[in-house]
Amino acid sequence: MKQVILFAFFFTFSFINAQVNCLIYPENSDERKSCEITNEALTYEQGSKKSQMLLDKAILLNPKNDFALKEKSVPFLKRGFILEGMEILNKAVEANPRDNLDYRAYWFFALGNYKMCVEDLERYYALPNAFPYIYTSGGDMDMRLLLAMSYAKLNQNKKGLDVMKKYVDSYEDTSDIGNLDYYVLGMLYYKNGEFENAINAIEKQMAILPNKYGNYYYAALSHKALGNTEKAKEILKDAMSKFSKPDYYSLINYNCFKVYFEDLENEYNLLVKE
Amino acid sequence: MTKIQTPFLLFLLLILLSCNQKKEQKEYTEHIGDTVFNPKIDHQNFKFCDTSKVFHSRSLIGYIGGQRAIEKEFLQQFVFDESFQDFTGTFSIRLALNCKRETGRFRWEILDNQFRQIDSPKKLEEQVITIVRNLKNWEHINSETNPDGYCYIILNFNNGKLILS
Repeated sequence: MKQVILFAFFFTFSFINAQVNCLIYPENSDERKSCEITNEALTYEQGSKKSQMLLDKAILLNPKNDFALKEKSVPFLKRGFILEGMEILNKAVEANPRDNLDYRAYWFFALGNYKMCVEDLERYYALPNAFPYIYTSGGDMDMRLLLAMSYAKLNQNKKGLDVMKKYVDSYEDTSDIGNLDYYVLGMLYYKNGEFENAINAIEKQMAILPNKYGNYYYAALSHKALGNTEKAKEILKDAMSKFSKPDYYSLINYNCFKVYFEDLENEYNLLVKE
Repeated sequence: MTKIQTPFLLFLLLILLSCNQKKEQKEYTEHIGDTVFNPKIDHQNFKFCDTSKVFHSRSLIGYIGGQRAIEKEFLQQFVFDESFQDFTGTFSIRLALNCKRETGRFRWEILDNQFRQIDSPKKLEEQVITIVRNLKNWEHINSETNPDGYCYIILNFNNGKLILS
């Protein structure tokens, strides 16, 4: 159900370019004009000169137009101008923390700065008017997944597991669980030494998304930790026969606990030698 | 008369300076990230196959073996030096990949943990950029035409050592 709603939501918004309602500002005010110019900027290609210049104009009229600031930062960040992008995004966060902290947290996460990601998300969720369900800008993932993985990267596995347990419990309908949710839960159970729970979670993820070999890896590690070496070998062998080694990998990844094909091979070889 | 003129002239000068600063606002290229050839830092041999269609999408460029392979190749060439010890921060390195899978137009930023500009030891900077320039296994993703494009990689360091992803 969640996927259907999300699809409808983002499908609709992809056509209206996430424009905002400017009628909330008084007629002829700088805020209204700034808002309208921002909307006009979004009709041009992201990162184009025309779009960026219009956003500059909008920001000049209303320096607290956080939406324009955020939109201006996006092409810089997406294209590796981290310094410039962050300087602008910081201003958006300052002007309106509730609507921009999550986006900055996403970039900290994506650039491997897990400490700052945690700081921003902890600050966000502590806001009295925070939305409980917020997603990465493409709608791919709930930000609580990023928070849990960031905790794990900082070796705060217990905190990460607590976030994931609450996250999964927050969905009344398990059909709302996504492609990475039980995987991260399982990985965190594993890191906390709860191997049986890890196996249960990973098996649930495999039922949702059977074609990801990362699931097999953590299932095998958990069986191995429980002393079931033969089972672990069997799982890894099964994965290596089902999947082939990718020729190349994208450099964009929401999963900072990515398992590479070679991890399966290395773990299997270790078990065979034992 | 002179006493009145001096502050007035200073005032005018200040206004002129402030107007000039506004005019000096950074000019945009047609697209954020368009990187023109700079003979001081760019190899002459690198050329885009079709300059009219150079995309800006990191998702269209990958690496054989992924980020882990980049890190592995990096560590094979990296020589730690005591002078790197105090450096903790990030290198964001942009590059262009042409249709022949050749790289060029390398540009980079060095940032602290909050992504503010900092300096790194010159020797570290030179080594990092040299190693990244030597990476050869870039690949176009999901494309039959292998179009020219830009991407970037992030390398994070703690006390002068690469943090593995």
